[in-house]
Amino acid sequence: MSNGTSLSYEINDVKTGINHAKGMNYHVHDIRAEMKKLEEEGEIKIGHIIGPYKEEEVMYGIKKKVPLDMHYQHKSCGQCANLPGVPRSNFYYRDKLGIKYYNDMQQTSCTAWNYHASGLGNLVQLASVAARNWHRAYEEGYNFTIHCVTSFGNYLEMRHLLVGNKELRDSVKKVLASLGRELVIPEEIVHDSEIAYALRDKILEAADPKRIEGINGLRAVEHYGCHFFKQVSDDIIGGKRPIVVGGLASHLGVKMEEYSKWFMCCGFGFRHILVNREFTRSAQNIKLKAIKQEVDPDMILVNCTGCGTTFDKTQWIQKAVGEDYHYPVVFYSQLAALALGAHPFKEAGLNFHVTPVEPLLDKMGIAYN
Amino acid sequence: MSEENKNPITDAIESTKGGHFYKEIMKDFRIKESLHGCLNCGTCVANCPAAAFYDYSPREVCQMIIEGDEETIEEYMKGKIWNCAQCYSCKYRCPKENSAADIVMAMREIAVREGLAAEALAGYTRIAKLVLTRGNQLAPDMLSPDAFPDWGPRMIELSSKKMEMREELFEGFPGMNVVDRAWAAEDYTIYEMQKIWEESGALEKVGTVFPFLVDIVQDDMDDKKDEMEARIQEKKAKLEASKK
Repeated sequence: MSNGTSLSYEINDVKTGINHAKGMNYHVHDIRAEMKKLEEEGEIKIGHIIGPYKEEEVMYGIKKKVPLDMHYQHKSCGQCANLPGVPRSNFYYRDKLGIKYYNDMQQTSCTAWNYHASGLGNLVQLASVAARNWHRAYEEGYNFTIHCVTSFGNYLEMRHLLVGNKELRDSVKKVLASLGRELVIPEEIVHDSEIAYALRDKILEAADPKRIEGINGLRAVEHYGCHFFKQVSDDIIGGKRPIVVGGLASHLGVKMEEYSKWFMCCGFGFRHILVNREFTRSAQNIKLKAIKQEVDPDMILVNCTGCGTTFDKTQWIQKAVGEDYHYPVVFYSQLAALALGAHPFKEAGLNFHVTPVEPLLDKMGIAYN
Repeated sequence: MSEENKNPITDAIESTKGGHFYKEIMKDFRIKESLHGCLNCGTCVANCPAAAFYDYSPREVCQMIIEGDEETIEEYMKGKIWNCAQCYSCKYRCPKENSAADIVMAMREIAVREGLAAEALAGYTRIAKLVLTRGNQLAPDMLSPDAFPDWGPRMIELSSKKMEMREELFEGFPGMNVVDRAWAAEDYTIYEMQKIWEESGALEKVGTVFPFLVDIVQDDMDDKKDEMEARIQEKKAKLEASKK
């Protein structure tokens, strides 16, 4: 970010600025310009942003429009099945801020977890599933917004491939036509954590002062899903060094701390979490060790389904190698929901987490029984 | 990415190299975007979690494609590609913006298509079945403590109470309190998903690993075909009308 004064997370602003400046500009392109060209040629339709939006800066100074209302909720299957407090918190903060949203039972999973884990499926299938979900938001008149980082990375990639490859585009159009649908690419692919970040002033304004008092001064580290910022890096708020989770949290009073292994994959690995968990546990061991030795925070803040699962579920087993970790794993939206007054269990679903959250709630002065 | 964009490096490689797997890999259009020459600098390896724990190297992935080294490619096709965590750390860090993760993804697709993935996908049946019959990839029911004993004792407690906990959490949110899928995707939606897999050729590919699954999906589709196709016809008519 070139304009650090408008953001609350100055350290990362500086880092992002350095990354922008040095050597990575191998092929700067703005996908929006390419999409506009294709729209003018009649090749695609664009699902334009509906209602108010806020511009946030992504790589190369390009502005991303973050829709502030009319949110189609592209849910995460991993969250709904495993960490259901996250989608519930996503609904909760919207209800509190008066944001209209649509929880669609005609949505499918993006199938990217399956694809990256197994190689089952192909690009036409993956892009058609993406385009069918995009079309659902378009036909219902909502802005497409995404809860899951795997879906987010996948949809960024599918947009990139569909815009850049006519053969793929034609194949997908054919599949969509067989369903009575058409190719409508959203003007912006936006992750829910980017929206919460863009809404940080409103969240703070509407927050319960007692809750903010409890949050103030908590120490946290952040971890971002690899598919949030490594798969397609050039269209994320903050660019190569994401800022949205730490930016929101520090705005609410959390003291964000750096640790040396912030970049490293959590060990989820798509297939590894199912069939090779010794890899997952080993990667976690490196991450958790660095977090403990360098920070020893009150919580680990995340925005990714897979990473949230991995951090939450893999701390207990570290006892096998003589380590004792118990860092509560909290999603950005659960933190926002707590700030806005949510019941930690009945409305933020923190009781679904395996690593106990009770010590954190005690420290925040939040009752949970 | 421009459609006219040629990649002189991959074009030159393609014109000189032999090998069956190599030729199949080079057919994937993503390779042109994933390989821009390799400095052998090892930055990708230093950032790769799979390289830290397995005999796997993203540098080697790029080099073997540049070299057209069929022996090494075969070694990867038959096992090593499944070590990659698909985290894209290699792509993020590479000074040439190569993406070993994307090359591996293209190779995984080929491995499945050519019947080399049976061992790697053993234990994957439930996910594949859920995707193709429920429209979701994950369900609360799948996270049973006996399948994940290393997730600790609290998993057992959660598992036994999940129905009542979900009921409380999702009161007033229809379709969210289900345990055999992530959310209650409608039958019509599942049919659309199945049709995408069929029309795109992906279902046929599933048959190389899980042939019984193809039968299940096709039976499921046949059972509801008349009703669902009638709905699709209505949608097509509506779409046509909107274009006029």
